Amino acid sequence: MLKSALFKTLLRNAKFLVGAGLLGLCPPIASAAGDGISSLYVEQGDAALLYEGQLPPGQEAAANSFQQKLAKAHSRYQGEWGGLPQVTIPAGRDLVAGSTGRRVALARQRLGLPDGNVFDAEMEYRVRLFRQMHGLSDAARIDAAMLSALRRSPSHYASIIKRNLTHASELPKYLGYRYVHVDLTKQRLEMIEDGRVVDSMAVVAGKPESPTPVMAGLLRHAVLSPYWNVPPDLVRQRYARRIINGGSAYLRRTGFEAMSGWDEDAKVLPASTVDWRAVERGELDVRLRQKPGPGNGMGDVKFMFPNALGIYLHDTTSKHYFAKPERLFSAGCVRVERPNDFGAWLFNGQMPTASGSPEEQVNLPFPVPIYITHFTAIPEDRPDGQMKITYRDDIYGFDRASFAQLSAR
Amino acid sequence: MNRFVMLAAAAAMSATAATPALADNHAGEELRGQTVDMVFADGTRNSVFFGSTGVATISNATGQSANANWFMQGDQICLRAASATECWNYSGRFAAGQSVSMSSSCNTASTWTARNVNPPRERVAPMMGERG
Repeated sequence: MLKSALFKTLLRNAKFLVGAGLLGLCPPIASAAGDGISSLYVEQGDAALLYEGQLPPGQEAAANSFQQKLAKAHSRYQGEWGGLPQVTIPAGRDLVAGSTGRRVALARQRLGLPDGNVFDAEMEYRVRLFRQMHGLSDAARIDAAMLSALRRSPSHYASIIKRNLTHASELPKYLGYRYVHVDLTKQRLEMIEDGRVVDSMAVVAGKPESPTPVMAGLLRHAVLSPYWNVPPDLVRQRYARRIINGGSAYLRRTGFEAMSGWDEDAKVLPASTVDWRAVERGELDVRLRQKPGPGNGMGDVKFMFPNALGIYLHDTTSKHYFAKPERLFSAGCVRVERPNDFGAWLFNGQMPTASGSPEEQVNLPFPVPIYITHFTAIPEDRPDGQMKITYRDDIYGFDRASFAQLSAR
Repeated sequence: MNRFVMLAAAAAMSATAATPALADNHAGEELRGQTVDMVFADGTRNSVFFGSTGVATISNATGQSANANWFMQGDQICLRAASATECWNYSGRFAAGQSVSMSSSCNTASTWTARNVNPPRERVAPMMGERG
């Protein structure tokens, strides 16, 4: 029997926190193509913990929830829509229930219906199904949008779903009992517990020219009253010129200070001792950091999952971006809309209170997995047993990159 | 080496020329995601899997198992389920295959042997800063 007082309690209260599932011992990332931005990035120290360390050895996960949905969608798409004849339907008026004629006959052929030239109830039903699987509205008509979808080869959609399935397969098969999902194509953050979204919020992600990478990691600590340590390339591209133009007044106004290095005992350098023109030319790297305070780029808190890409979640002073429908404005980090609510969830109830000391690190009670994804096909089951797929914009061109790599092989 | 590992390593090297320093290696980190075999004074044998995200799975020789949360509390390693918590004094890093005698807050004595341990984590941040 299990030993000790605690273990006896455990047996009485045996409530398994971890869902049944089997462990994939080898992450399938080894076969992922990409340049480190369009394929999943996992920090070396986190890989084993995420892929092998969440469940006991011997337990096996069948597939993660993204994989399950996308595999089903791919199979269903191929089965229902993949083999239909590629018939071209001329442009014209919308076809609706009751429409007749040659265009209806062609559309029936394209949709895999028996020969005929009447838009009947059977065709109406089929049109609805087609629209659901091709990211169109629920209307029961063949309009310009549907004509456009009908003209595309079924392989166009199948390959999008397949690419998304490949992306899902790079993630751990067991995502975690509690985890964070940053959905780049929707610019939303979801907090997941026991497979359910318990809260979500808007985020700001990277600009198209500085995309937020797809990543998996472990959130380990928060930093209250943080410094913003500016990566050297941003110092060179964005700040060196501003400092040259604005001088010490600019530095005072913005709270930036040059540092002697990246060590913990680094000293603040007099700005006048730095050759900022050499920094701008890329001949000299200088650590620039912004002091905690109202104008700090990290806001009041940053949430850290240590990685060599310099990508983190953090608060922001630019709250107005969260109201925009598309939120691609950062240099790659993820800015969160409600950092206090997010922090409270990470800390199991209450966001820690800042003591006022700069760069105050507070460890999470437990590391929390975080997955930053770029899905462009989102399947969902409908109550009637059918499926609906929403297609999202390929905001960073990761799909295009994947297709290019696949076609180059 | 897996591709993502190569990517991570390459990025880390490009981020800084400095020698990577060891990160904050908190007590107990070597057991994260690892299994420890426990033998009690009366011969009972259990194993505890210390899941990487704080869920522990305790199993005995007959295949019974139960889940708890595990965490470090000062210099103690603790397991908690429902309202019950049991803690053991943690005196230093575990080494794979080496047995350590432990006594718990519930006054049970046991010998712990880690099947494997994690190497110390290397610091990866904030060497490069935050992209913002």
